[in-house]
Amino acid sequence: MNERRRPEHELLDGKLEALLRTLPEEEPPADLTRRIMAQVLAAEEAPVQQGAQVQTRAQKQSQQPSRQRAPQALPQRPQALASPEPLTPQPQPLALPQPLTPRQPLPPWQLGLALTAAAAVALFVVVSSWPAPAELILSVGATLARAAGSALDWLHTGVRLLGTLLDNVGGALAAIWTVVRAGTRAAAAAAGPLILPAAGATVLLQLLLWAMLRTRRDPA
Amino acid sequence: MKPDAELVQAVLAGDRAQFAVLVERYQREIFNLAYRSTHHREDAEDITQKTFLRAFRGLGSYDPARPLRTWLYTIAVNVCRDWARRRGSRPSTVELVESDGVRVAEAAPQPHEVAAQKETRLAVEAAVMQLEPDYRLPVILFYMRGVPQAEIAEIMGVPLSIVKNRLFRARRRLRTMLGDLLEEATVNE
Repeated sequence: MNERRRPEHELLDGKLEALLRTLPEEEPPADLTRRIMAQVLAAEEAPVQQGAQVQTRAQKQSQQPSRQRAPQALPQRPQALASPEPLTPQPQPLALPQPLTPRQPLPPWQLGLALTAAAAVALFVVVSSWPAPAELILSVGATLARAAGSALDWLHTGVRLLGTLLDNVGGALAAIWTVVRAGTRAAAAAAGPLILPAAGATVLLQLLLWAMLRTRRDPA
Repeated sequence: MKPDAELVQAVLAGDRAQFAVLVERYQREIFNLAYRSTHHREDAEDITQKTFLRAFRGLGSYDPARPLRTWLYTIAVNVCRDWARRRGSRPSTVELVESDGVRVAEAAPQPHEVAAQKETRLAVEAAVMQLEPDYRLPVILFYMRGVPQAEIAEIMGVPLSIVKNRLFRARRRLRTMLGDLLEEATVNE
């Protein structure tokens, strides 16, 4: 009965948890411990092997790509060798002096020659196609000038619109202020004679209240 | 059975053979975490090997006041995350194969019942694999490995509230993915 009263998702959660908990355990391979221990021992010996390897690398550095030179001392499963990114840790070629190969700048004469050749080619192209380059430059300049003029026109129109808007808003506020001022003056003129009696009545009421309070505090 | 701390001390003192005892003791748990996280036996083996290799290398920094299982799980979770990151956006190739460890019911079930059980198991495993690692790992640790939530928080390096939240969200997503299956199972009960 209680189960029926529980929300549906709780029932489903219960079923889900039961399903998750009953997933079977996997047996690790029988030789996993042996493989792990082989790796552990290899990792211990790795620094010694690396020391020996440094000399070999120093001798063959210019002939062999670095990937081929990685030591393959650890036992590995065949699948790991076939996979593109084997997770099986391998002794890493740590602390090896990598030859620095900074990018060398071009010698000045080569740079000068390249620049001269480029300038000559450019000059040849310009001369051979004259007056097309001049027309092109003039055309681009005219287009840019037109675009700038157009943008300025838009800006001018926008500013004028804003000015008109502000002008209108200002006029509306001035009109409201005039109405309010006139109304206030009229009210003050109408209520002027009543102000003195009203003030007198207020003072009288205050005094009455004060007297009542005093009587209450000091009944004797 | 020697306590873990004693074995660790022996290994640190130079008795490497004692590390094999630790490996024997915990490899099943680490392997199963890795297998449930990757669903590839070979990858799970790699992760298990890498976990123990890292543990061996970092044994000097192990705090004996902390349970060794938690420490090993922490390393394994990090290795699993590395694995997931390397796998990146490659298409999921979940290896949904028949398990060697399929539980055998005490009363011999009918063939159609066995088929249904296998189908259910495969569907659940596939749904778990669809979760992101940050959600999958707490589910595996809590429901499949029976690790308490507080310990999971320590393993994953997040507050307990985050673990609870991730479990809640993971359950909700699993419910969505397995909706029909769960409803059928509830109705059958």
